Amino acid sequence: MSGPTPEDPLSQEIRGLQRPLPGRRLVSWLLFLVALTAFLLLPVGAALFNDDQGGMRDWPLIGAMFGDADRVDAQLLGRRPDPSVKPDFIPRDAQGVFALADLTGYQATPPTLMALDRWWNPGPLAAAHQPWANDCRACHAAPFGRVRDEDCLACHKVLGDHVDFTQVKDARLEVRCASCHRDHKGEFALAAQNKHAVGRDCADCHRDIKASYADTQTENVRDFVDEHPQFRVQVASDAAGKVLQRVRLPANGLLSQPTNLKFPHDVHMSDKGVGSPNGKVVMKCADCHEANGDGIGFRPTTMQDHCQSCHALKMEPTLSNREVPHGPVADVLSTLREFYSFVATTGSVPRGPEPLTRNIVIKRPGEPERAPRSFVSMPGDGKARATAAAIEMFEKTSCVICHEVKRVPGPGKAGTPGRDLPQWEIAAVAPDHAWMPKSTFTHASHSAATCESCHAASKSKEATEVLMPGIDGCRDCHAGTKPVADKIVSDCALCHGFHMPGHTPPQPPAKGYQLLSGRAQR
Amino acid sequence: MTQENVLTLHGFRYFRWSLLLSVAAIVAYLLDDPPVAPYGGTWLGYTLGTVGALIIVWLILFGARKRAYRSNLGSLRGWLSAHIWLGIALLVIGTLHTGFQFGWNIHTIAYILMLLVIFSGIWGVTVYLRNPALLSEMIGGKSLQQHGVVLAELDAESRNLAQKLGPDVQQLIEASARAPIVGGVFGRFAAPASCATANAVTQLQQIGLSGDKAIRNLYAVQVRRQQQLERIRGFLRLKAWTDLWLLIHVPVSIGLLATLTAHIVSVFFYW
Repeated sequence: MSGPTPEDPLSQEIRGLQRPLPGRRLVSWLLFLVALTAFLLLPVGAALFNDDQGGMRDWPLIGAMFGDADRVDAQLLGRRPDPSVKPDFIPRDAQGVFALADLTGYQATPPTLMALDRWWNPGPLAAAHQPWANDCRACHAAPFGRVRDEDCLACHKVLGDHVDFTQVKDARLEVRCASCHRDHKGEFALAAQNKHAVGRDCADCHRDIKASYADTQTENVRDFVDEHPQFRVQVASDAAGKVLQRVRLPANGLLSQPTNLKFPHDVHMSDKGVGSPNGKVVMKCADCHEANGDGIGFRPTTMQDHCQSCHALKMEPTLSNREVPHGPVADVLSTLREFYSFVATTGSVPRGPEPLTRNIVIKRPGEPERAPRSFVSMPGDGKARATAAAIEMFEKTSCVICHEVKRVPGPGKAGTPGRDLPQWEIAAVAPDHAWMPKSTFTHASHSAATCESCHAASKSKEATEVLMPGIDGCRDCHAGTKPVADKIVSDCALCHGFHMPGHTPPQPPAKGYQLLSGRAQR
Repeated sequence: MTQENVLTLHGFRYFRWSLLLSVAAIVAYLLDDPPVAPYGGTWLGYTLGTVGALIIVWLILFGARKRAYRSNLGSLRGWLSAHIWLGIALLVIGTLHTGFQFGWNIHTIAYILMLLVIFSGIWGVTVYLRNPALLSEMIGGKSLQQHGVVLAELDAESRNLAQKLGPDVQQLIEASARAPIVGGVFGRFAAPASCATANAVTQLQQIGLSGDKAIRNLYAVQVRRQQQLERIRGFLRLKAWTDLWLLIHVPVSIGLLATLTAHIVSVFFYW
């Protein structure tokens, strides 16, 4: 019997068939080389190469390794912040603002050659950082080094430190920007991180803050629900209102500040309505407190826009619509003087362009109701009639209704017609200021709630009463960091900022105020 | 008790280790509360990444251990069992390392390559467990070589019978004997469009109707040759399709090694 010989094509084929499928080695090498070139060699090469200079001037260290040390030029030193500067001792200018390299330097950075390192991008940058999305080196300034704070602060110049590092040394505060802010997490991720991720570590120090900083005015805080002190509300300390203090709300929630204004919220917000030229009107909060468009605060309440339609400053309410201006005393007196001189010399009353409207009869508490008096036909000259009318308006029917009015010796402002009338002084109303400057609160986010659910305005009898809510109301909806059914998880950063000077909402104190941060009584 | 196979080796020793590793990784992932979101750059992310990279390197070393026939470093069967189970544990560890953050970048490409390697491996394990004959490369208890001997014997017998017949028949038989079994790499994956032996069988059947005994004998031998061929081809097709997993598993794992290197270098290059 004859078996297949070695030359036999059949045995040759069978021997071939017993070998595994070909191509494994070839495909392996191909994949290895393609992956290594595309994903490692080209990106690294491109990152080290600057096509405009043909050198490694961005990275002196690498440049030196490649014999390129001479190319470390003045342009580089001018553009990049000094790497020897430690992140926690960043130089500042006189205003306390970080004084670092100009933003325009970064815009001049050439992107990596053909953006070959784009394969490395682990995820989309925050929307505000996307102009640098193809320029990894704008933030990753040195190879195999972490992102440096200097490179963040080159643009973010106006951030303030959490505490004054010239006063306080605490290793826990010497964190990098990137310890809290992690980019490459999506277009809107940094904003979300600022609200929820940042601030999770606050309690590390703040749970026993006095152990770290004995002088602090801050109470211990662990969690919004479990351990957070009652709010401190910023109030003006006296009627002159030159000094602002943050005062902790007392247990009964009642806090007052001098305002030099008489305004009973309860009268105006009565559900039976309040008198107006058109009869009783039920007022809404927004009639006077109009949202200012930033979602946070309100436009200033003014006499002209919010009061005067009812509280008209009529000189002769039964005969004329003519009003005195809501302004300096001299302007009011001069208007009265001119009006009654005209009446005295011509015997006629200027009525004003509109038909006569009904006047609101104003009755001060304890006084009997009476009809408005007229001085048109009283005996005497214009000065005598203007004097009587001024006394009536200043002391009985108009100014005194809302203001602190005090008679002062004359004469009045030189060169004004009302100079020879009796004179008054009206105490300046305390200007607006932020109530809770250490936190952010957007009214727009809370528009589903009624104003009254936080501000007990309808029971407030005096303008001096501060109607800021305490923490208990917030806790009806806001949980702490731990999730609670039907409540909102609220990390510290939901309301508080970390970088101190920049974190207040855009409500700077009015001119003439002096901030007395953290020196409030407790 | 059923016979121990590569998965159940040593009473599921490597399965138990891999399960422990996977469960530990899952528990750590669930307990971990990273500041922003889970991803490869947290402490747990770095840990899982390091463990995963070490596992990948060790799994690739299996290719070297397989060729080191003289190695005493554990049995090859043990290495394979551990290779399979650690590879499946890598699926858990690698996935948790990503923190489920994916994108069009080399990090996700590396993850996809890893999945390709793991799933092609699972495919390979499955086909070998379902067709144990493929491992021994035996058809009906005989080796491919032995089947080749049978073919050669049938050809010798056919040539003998054909000597008494005309040159037309001799040509048919010669073509049948000389045609390759599959012919080329692609022939291993699909049945051939034409087959010289099948052609000879058809022709002999038509000629054989005239009643010549020699033709009928030759016809019978060629039919046996055709059956034998089809048995071999069927086996080769099954083997080619099952071996295809290795054509993915091995090259992609080498590509993964390069991509993994780029992944690790890149994340620290732009730290």
